Amino acid sequence: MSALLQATEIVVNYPLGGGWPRRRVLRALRGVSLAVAKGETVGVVGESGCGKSSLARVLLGLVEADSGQVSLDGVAIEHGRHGSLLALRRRVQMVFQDPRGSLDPRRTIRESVAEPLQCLRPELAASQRQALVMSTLDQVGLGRELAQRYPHELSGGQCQRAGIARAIVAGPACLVCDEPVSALDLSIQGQIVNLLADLRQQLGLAVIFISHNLAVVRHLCDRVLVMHLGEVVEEGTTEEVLTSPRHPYTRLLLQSELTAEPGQPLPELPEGEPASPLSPPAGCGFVERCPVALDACRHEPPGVHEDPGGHLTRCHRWPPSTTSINSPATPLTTAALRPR
Amino acid sequence: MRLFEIRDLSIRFSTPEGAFDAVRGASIALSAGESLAIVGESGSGKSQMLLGALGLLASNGRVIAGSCIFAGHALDTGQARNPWLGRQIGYIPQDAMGCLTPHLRIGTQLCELLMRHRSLEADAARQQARELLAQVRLPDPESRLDLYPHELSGGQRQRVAIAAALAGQPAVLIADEPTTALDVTVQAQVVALLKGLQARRDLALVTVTHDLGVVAALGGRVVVMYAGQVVEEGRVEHVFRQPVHPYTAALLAARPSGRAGVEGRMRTIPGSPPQPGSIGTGCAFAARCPAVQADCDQPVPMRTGAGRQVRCHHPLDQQASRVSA
Repeated sequence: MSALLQATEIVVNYPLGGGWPRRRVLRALRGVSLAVAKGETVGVVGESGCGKSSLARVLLGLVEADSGQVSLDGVAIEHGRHGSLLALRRRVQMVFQDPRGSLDPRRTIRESVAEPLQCLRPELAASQRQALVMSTLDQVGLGRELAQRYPHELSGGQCQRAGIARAIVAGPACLVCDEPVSALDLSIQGQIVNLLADLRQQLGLAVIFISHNLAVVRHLCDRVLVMHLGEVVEEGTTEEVLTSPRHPYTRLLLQSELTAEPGQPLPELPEGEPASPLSPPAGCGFVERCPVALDACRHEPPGVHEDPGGHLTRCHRWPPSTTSINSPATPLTTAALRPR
Repeated sequence: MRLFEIRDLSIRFSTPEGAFDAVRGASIALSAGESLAIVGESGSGKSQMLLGALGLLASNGRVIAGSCIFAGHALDTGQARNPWLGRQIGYIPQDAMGCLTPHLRIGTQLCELLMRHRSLEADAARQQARELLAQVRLPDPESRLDLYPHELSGGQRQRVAIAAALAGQPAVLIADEPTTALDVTVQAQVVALLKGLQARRDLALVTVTHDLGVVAALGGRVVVMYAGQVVEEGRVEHVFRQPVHPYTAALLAARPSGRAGVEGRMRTIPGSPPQPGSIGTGCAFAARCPAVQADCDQPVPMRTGAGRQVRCHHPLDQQASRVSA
């Protein structure tokens, strides 16, 4: 399958002020690659500060990568050329986290949904534009009577439907969804997830679904990338990554999930917080919280291991080896992953 | 005897569009050492009920009926700030960043509380502040006292907010959405901390949340709120295994299934919660209820029995049929 949208070895650093010699830099992305094919849904999971949203911005051309490239249908995006970015925006659109905040409060829903057409499809006549807006509102399940309303008159779920309408109205091939359901109530979340699944099927959309909600990712995604401190630490099919995780960080995420099953003991988790992207450690970024860290993990960044099935793991402990003398390999089982 | 109670509380907000009742006769009660979770969607009145009881409502809201009872003493909750707040009742507000003053060091803020509520001298207060931070398991408490709120991570700030609520040695701890803004890995830590404090200090713990996972992890009892009313109450394991109110059942069914490779659709509750002000006298859930019947537009009494309560004309299982109205 050839990639529709592809990011290769993306590096993004944000300067944080402070002059020479103490210029501080936040290393948001440290060489991230991602590819999504037509009709495929890729989930991106990780804690806040892991670079999920920076990745979304790079994919949309909102932030220019310091190195690495984004290509659409095999053609690299050039930030200096307006035409190149315009092509990207016609084909890749975004659904935002805050449904109300992402709509202009002084515009009606109809005006907000029509706006992308004015810049992305200027060849359309006003009447065509109007018809397209109305059919898109039908598509996302918003009644036409809501077209003349303002965002404050709509519920959170309805605003998110309007946000999705805005994203699909110009006929993109790929949607980047940044936490699209996390601001919504449980009874509404399912409606939006189902809507995204329907649209993906009807329009053959590729979807990049950024979320910290593993249950929703499990439900919706074909493949998952697990990000930690600006790197992809594990990647594979949803089934593989979320049922037989290899990286200790993926296991930590899965263990931390509070399942709504009463009577289960609370997970015993290592104390501690993610390392800071201001000063990522020399070795593996997860070493401070890792229950199975080796000496090498402190000093050497782990390489990536890819198995024939395309399951990527960035960990010194993978594949489990029996060769090391100093650190007899502990099989990477759940028992070995109990906190210290 | 119940240690802490909110009884028949009603709260009215006046807005330019007219007045509406955010809370309509809601009651909760709990004993020392007990955990009670209040769960509901946004707008269900779960936070406003507590703010009303504590006298912390926004200026356009007022308590129109009901009382707050602590250790047998009743207080007619009006506009005034609850005199027990900070001492007998510790409150952790929803926004852990917002409840800390940005330009004062953590230590200064904790010491201020300790000197005010426990009449400690400055040295003793600092000593006590350090102990509080150790109790909420903030690493290296001595040096954290000199930090400003923005120098801490979200999870650490939440811990400081919990420490501040504990400063007056309360018997009741109220936590409003303590895990909402946190990462999954930190959420479980904070729930474990609250549970540990509750057990160690024999606290009556009230937790407001919309996360069913947090409710299950906390255990104890749960109150389900919808449109300003309590619609179901019971022990967490009973309510989760066998919900009696159709809303609770639908909410539990709407959880993502959590199994990989499920091609089915997520179960949802059609429609959206009623707009405040558009609620009639009957059941507020009737418009979305799969089991709605003709008499659902009549006022619904609370049915009580067997350690459970439900506000429904047609509760779901046979246990409820044994319950008398």
